[in-house]
Amino acid sequence: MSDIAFTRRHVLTMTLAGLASVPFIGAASAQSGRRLRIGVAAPATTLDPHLQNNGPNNALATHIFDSLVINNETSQSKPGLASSWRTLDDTHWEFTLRDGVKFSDGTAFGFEDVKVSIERATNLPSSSSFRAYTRNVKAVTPGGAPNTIVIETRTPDPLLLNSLSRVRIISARFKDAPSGDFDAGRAAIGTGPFLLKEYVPGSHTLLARNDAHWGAKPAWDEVILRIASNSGTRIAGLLAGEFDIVENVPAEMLDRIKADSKLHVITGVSSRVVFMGFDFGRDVTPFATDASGKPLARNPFKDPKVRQAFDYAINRQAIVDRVMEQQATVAAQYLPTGAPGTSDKLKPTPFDLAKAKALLAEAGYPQGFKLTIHGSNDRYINDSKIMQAIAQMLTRAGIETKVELLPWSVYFPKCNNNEFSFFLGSFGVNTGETSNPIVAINATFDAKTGMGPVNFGRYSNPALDAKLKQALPLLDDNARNGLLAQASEIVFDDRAILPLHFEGLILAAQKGIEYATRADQYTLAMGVTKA
Amino acid sequence: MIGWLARRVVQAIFVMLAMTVIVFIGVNVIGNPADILIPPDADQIERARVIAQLGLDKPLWEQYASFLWGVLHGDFGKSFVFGEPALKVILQRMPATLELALVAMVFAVLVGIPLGLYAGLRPNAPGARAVMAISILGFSLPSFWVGLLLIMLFSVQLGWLPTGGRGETREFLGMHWSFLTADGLRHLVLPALNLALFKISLVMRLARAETGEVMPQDYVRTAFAKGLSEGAVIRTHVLRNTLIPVATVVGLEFGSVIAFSVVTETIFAWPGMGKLIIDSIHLLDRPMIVAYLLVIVVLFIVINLVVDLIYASLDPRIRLEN
Repeated sequence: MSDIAFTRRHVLTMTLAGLASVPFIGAASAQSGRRLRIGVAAPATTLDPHLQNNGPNNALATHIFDSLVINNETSQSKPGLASSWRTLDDTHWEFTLRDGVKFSDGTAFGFEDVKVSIERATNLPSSSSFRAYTRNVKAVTPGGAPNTIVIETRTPDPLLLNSLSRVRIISARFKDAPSGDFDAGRAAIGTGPFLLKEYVPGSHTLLARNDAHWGAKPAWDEVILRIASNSGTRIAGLLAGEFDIVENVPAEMLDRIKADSKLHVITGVSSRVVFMGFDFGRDVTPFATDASGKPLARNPFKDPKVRQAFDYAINRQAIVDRVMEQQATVAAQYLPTGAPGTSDKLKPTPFDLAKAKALLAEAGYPQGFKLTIHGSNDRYINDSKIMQAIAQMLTRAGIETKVELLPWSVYFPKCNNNEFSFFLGSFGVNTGETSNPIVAINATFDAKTGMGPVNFGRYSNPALDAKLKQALPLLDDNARNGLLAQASEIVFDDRAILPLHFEGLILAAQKGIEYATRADQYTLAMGVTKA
Repeated sequence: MIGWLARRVVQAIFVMLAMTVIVFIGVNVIGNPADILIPPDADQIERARVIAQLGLDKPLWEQYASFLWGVLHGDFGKSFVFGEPALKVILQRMPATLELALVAMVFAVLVGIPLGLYAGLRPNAPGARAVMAISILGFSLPSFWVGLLLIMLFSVQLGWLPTGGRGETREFLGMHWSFLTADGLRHLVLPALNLALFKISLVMRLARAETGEVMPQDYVRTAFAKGLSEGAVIRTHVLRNTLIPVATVVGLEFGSVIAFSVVTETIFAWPGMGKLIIDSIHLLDRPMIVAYLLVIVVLFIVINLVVDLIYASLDPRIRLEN
C-alpha cells in the first residue's frame, strides 16, 4: 500500500509540475461568507471525547468541548474551564471554576460535570483509553469556597495539569450516554468555542460558532472540516479554491504552492522527535553479524564507543536538508533547548566520519561489521528515506548496512517485543516537558510500576532511574526541571538513543488566511485568522 | 431450482467459515492489535487492561469460538477502533460506495455495450478503430493517475466540478444518497467516470469480440437468409448471445468495484467503505476486517446468483440444476 502511495505522490508531483506552467484560470472565490473550510488529513473515529485518545479525535473534540486546563500552542498549561488553581499540599489541588459558563443546551456548568467527565474518561471501555491521564486521580470533591473543586491524587503528580487538559468536560446529563449519542449530536453538548451542526463519519464535520462561549470568539460563523486523506486531493482542493487551509502538506509540493500567487505556506515546529534506538536487552543481538552473516559473539551496542561511533557517523544536517527538504530541525534532546526539563549543555552531535571510524577501531571493530536496521515505511514523514540515508552513512563509516522496512502494523509489535538491533522510533512530546519521554522511552522497563512502556531497546541505567525517582514527585517546577535536565544529560551523553530531528509542520492556505501552528500538530479552527 | 439454491447456500456458508478462520489466523500472525491502538505514553498496566478488555489474552480458538457464538446471535463484534458494532460502521458507509459503483457500472454498460457492438459489426470502420484504440488507454492508464488528471483538469484548471467529497446528500430509505441532489450529482461525476473508464473499455472489448464470433454463425446467416432486417437479427440473435459472457464479467466487476474501489475513493475523498477496510487492516481492527469480508463474500455470492439467473433467462438451454 505504501509503495502505491509513494508512487502516487510522485506522479502527482509530476502532474502538478507539468500544469504549473499553464495559467491558473478556474479558482472559485477564496471563501463564501464567513465559513472556514479546512482540509483535514486524518479522520476522527468518533465525536465521543472520552472514547479514543488519538490526535484526530482530540483535535475535533477540542472545537466542541473545553477542559479545565487548556494546552496552548507550545503545550503549556493555561486556564480553561478552571480560571485558576493552586496546590493545597502534595496530593491536593484546588481549582476555581470559571463563573457563568453554560453548556450549549443552556444548562450551567459546575462541579458535577467535572466529576462525571473524569469518571467517564476513566471507566469507559476503550482500546485507547484516557485512563492513562486520570488513573492517578483518587477523588474529585467540592472545595471549601463556592465554585471551587479539589482533586486528590494518589501520588504527587506534577503533570496533573497536563493530564487534565486531555479530559474534555461533558454535561453530567450524558453520564451514561453511549458513544453513538455523541456521533448523532444528541450528547455532543459542550462549552467549547463551536457548536456541532452535522457530523458525517469519514466525510466531514460542520460547526457553528458558539456565541455564548466564555473565551475569545473565533473569526468564523461556520467551519467545515472535510476529510481528504490523500495529500494530492487536499492540495487540489486548495488549488481549486475549495479549501481555505489544508494540513500535512508534503514537502515536494511546496514549490507548486509557492508558485501560486493566491496561496501561501505556513510552517512550524512540532514536538515530535524522531530517533534511532539500540538493542541493549540481549547479549547477542541478531542483526549485527560478522562478514559471514553469523551474529557477533557479543552485542556491540553494549559498548558506549560503538554507540558514539554511530552518533558521529550520522549526518543529521544532511537528513534535514535533503531527505526532509528543510522541513525539520536537528535534535539534540527530547525538546528544543530551553524547553522545561532540557539541558543547555546538550548540543547536536556534529558529523565526523574520521572520529566514527576511530571509535569503531578502539571498540575492536576496525573492519566494522554487518548490520540490518529496521524502520516503518508508512508512519512518519519520509521514514523510509531516512532509513536509507542512515544505512548509507553507516556504510561509509565501515558498517555494511542493510535496511528492512515494514508497515507500521507489522513493525510496531516486533519493536515492542525488542526484536530489532538498531531501529527507528519517534515520540510526540505533548506534555511540553521531558519527564514524559524519558519515563516512557529510557526508564528501566518494568511492567509493575509502568516505567519504560516504550523502552523498545530495554535500556537500563540505575543512575537514570534514581534521578527520575527523585524528580517525578516534585511539584516545584524549577527543582523538577533542574533534575530532569540532569536526567536528559544522562540519557543523551550515554547515547541511550540517538535523536535525529524534530518533524516540521507544514500547512498551506489561501493568502490572507493565517494559522498559529501547534506543537501537538492539531489543526484547530480557533487558531485560524483572517488578515 | 430449490435444490440448486440450497446447495448454493450451503457452499456459501462454508466459504464464509473458511474466510473467518483465515482472517483470525492472519491477523494473529501479524501482531497484537492492542500494541497499535494504545497511545505510546500509556504504560504496561494500561496495556494489559486493554488486552484483557478486548479479549486478546485468551487463546485464539477461544476468541474464535466466542466470535462464532456472537455471529449466531447476530453480533459481528465491536470494532476495536470505533467502539461500535462493526456491521453498523460498514453499513453506514455502504450507500456511498454502492451509488458510486452503480453509477460506474451503468456508465460501463450504457457506453460499453453499444460501442462494442458497433465495433464488432463494422470492424473496419474508422470510428470503430478509433474507439478500440481509445479503449487501450482506458485499460492501461492507472486509475489513480487518471483520477488526478481529471481533478487537475476539470476542478483546478476549468473549475467546473468539485475536487472531492460527496456534496449535499438527501435521505432515502434511511440512508444518505448523493444522486438525489444536483450538488451531489456534480460530486459524483468525476469519481464515477474514473471508476468506469476501465470497465467501459473492458465491456466494449468483450462485446466486440463476442459480436465478431457470433456474426459468422450459421443461425445468424440463416436469419439473414430468411430476409430479416439487420436490426431484428442483431436484437434477437446477436445481442442475446453476445450478452452471456458480458453478463458474467459485468457481475464480477460490479462486485470488485464495490469491494475494492479504494483508490478512487481515496483520491476523490469519497467517504465509502473501500477506505475503511484499508484503515482497518493498518490498525489490525479484526472485527472490522472480518465483518467487511463477510459482507463482501455475501455480496459476491448474491451477484453470482443473479448472474446465473440472468444466464438462464438469456439462454433457455442453460439449466440451473447442472
